[in-house]
Amino acid sequence: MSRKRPLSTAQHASPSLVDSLFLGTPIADADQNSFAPVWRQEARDERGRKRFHGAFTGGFSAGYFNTVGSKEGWTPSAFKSSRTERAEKKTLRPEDFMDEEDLADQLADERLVAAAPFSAISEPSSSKGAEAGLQDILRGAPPGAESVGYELLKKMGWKPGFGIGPLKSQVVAGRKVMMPPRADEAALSGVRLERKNNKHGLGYDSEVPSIESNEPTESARRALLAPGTISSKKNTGFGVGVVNEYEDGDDEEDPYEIKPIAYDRVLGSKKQKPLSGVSKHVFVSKTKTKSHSAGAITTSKLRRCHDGRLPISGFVLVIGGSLATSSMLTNEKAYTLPSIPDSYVPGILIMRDPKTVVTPQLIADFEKSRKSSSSARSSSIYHQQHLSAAERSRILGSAQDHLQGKSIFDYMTPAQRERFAKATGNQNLPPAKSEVGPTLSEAGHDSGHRNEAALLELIPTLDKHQASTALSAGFMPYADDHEKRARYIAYLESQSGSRPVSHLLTFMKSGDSDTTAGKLKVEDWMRELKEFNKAAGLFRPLKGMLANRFTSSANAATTKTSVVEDDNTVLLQGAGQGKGATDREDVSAAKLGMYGPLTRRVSAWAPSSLLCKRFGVRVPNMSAVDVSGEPEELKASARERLDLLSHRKLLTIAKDADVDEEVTKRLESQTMDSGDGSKINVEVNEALEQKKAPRDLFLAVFGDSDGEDERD
Amino acid sequence: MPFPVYSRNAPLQEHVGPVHVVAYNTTGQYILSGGQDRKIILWNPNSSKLVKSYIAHGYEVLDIAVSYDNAKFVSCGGDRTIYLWDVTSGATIRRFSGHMSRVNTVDFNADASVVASGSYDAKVRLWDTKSSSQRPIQLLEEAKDSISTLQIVGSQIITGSVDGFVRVYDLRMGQLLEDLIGSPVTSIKDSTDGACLLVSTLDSTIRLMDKSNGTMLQTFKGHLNKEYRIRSCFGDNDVYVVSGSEDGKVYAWDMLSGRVVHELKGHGEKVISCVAYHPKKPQMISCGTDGSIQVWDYT
Repeated sequence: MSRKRPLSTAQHASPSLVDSLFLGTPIADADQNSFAPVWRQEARDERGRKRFHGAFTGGFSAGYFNTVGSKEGWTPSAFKSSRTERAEKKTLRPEDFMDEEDLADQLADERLVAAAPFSAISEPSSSKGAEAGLQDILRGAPPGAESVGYELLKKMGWKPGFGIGPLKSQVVAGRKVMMPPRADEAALSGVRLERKNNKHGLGYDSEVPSIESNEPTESARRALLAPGTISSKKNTGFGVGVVNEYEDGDDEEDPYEIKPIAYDRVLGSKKQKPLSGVSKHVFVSKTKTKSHSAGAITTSKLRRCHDGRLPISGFVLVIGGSLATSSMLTNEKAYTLPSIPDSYVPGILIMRDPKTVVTPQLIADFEKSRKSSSSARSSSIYHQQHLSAAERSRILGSAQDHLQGKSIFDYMTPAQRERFAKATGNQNLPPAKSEVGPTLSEAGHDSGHRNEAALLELIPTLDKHQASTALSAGFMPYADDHEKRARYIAYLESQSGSRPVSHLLTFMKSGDSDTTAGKLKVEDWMRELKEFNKAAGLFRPLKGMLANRFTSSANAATTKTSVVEDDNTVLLQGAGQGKGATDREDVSAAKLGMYGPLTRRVSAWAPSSLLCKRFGVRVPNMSAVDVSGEPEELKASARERLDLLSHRKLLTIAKDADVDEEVTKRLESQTMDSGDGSKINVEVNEALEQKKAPRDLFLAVFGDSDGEDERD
Repeated sequence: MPFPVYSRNAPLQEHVGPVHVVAYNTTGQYILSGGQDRKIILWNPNSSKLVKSYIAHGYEVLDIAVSYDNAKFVSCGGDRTIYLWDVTSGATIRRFSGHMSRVNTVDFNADASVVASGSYDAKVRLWDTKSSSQRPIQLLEEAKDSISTLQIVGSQIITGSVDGFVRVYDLRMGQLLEDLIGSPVTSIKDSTDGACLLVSTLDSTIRLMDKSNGTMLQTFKGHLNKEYRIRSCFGDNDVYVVSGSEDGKVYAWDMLSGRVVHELKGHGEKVISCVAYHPKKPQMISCGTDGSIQVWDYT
């Protein structure tokens, strides 16, 4: 009999579950979502975030949903950083900013790559520098353990210096011995150079899945489609929808997927597979490579380099012979040459007249004539071994024969030819004949008058009026070349009409043989005429007022002492003359080596006060500076002349005005004495104490004449 | 005293490219050199060792002048600026800019308060080292062509220009004396007594001019100076006249007679642009376009 359980123990367990038995899996309470009606279900994505945010149910979100924060807002986390407790730095990784798409891309880009020691078999530190080896040591790697493959090789009995492959029997010291093959560094370095035998472009991916078609028509149709189009594989025909997910379990098939372009499809041939490149591993046995016929060539066929070593794999040493004929390289079958008929004679058949029509009859005649070995020239076709350039030009019918069968060597002297031969190293140059080439004069003589007329036409013309004004210009250019000036004048005259144009031809050399001194060669003559044409435009006479302003240097030299109306010019000329003279004296004295007062100039120069202060000298008194020397004298003379002139002017005015004779006499008597000295007599002031000039003089000078306005 | 004719076996070779100027300091214990490589190097000529290099110039260094107390020196060059350096620290104390073309020559006055600089733009600018003003105290514009050389002697500023004139600006007298030499002047040196000037010109001639009246006292010929600025100086208390040359030889003349007393080959037949004589000992230095500085001793 079961005793009744005490009440205390029964109180703990829930009354319903205490004696019950559990069979099966309980329904997951959590996922109530899937058992609720659709309208009550909540849309969530795989991460559990709510989607739609009230869309389709009348709501909208303008806020925080699935972003930072809550309905109430975003409260920033309390920032605490003190001396003892530093703030934790939130480092954001790029992954934090990525969404699913980006993360998917990232996953797709991940590649599984072998780590450095495993990636390639390379000999340690021989291929890389000593530094790299040192770095590895520092890193803690045991020395020499660059790549794992290397270690494995060694463990399998390979020694550095051997090649890779099975043992070969070699004859060493007269005996046949099995020896490991010769080392080939390229094999170890992991770089394998393959010879390219196909016509694919660089970067061609042979892994592109080419669409195998079962029906020729379908493949034909697909081949006709433009590449990159969306292919509809099985979805053509009626009743087939675009999206058919569950067909053939091929739910991977995306009808909108744009397949990569497969260029290797062939129309109508389903049996042919696209050419695929073979990805080579490092260890490939010889037999396998032979069968592929692409890639490494057997060592027995290889030639060795001059030091006995094999060339790098994938390269073939071709010594001598022509590359094109090397069957090793083309890897193609060698085809025999076509058979040549016995009657064939190498050479060129030349037609005398290019326009003759080639008929079978003509050819038959030619054959007959050749066989009969009669003189070749009688037939219209003849045979020649090689064509010369002259022949070719004749056949082509080129219009001019400039060379007339001559070559440059005909015109060269033997010495020049030797130079050529030496320079080019080619001794087979044609002999030099030292002929004289055709010259212009000959050409001129040939054409005669025709040429002259042509030249006359080429003379640049000048407007008649322009030419005549240029003639009347006071200044003629080409002052230093009188002949040229004469020619210039002749040109102007010819253009203005006073001289026939043909006269200009007299200045020109009539030919090479013409050695008259004054005459010019045709080119120079022509050039000169052009120059004259331009010059005529420039050297025109100055008109009117402008003419008065300018004088030519020649005139100035001759009118040194003449008194000119304008006072200023005399002064300037005088002063200029003086200064100019000193300058030239200066230079000539220096040239002669006569250094001294002639080469020395003293002038006043005022240093600034700050400068004097820095130098510790007193500021010089500039007024007391005694600047002795020529400039002073010059100034004196200039001053004198000024006085003289104004005096003279005064005199003329006085005379004109019929001034009191006494006054004029006094004026006349006023000699240069007044200008003599700067001696100032303090006691007497002549200017004030002299008798004042009579009123008439004043009136003459300052008075108003007829028509002058009285100004207030 | 004998003339230093023996060159050291190992020339001072630190500059890359031509060395334009060498200068002794006032005591002769150190030399400063400036070259195309924009460096200024302080050497100890006795030990032939490099002491310090001063690098700040943007373009080649064309001239160096040392102050009276050997604590400062001033350098100028192609970057149109004049640098005032402190010798021991190597720091640039001041920079003067204002010239419109390369500065060919600089000099201090007696107490290093004024720096005079002559430039390719035909102007001489006088700068104040005591104030911090950016503008020069005075501008001397009388020359018509590039100023190739200048020297401050007492209260006189002597300039030589490519226009063929030697100009002496006398502050005390308030005068400017212009002497026409004839060909472009490349170098000017005042004699120790202040009575004459040694003028090198581009016609392969060096002339000794009397400052008081401008007459020529002596000519020194034999060297080659047609294209470059070759500097000349007095040696051994004005007993010798020493000059570089474009044919790779250092020439020395007896000042009184004008005869060539020494022709010393050096610098690999290249142009010897500058020579300087020790203020006290029979020693001299020369620099050339081969980039080396040769120290010459008398033993």
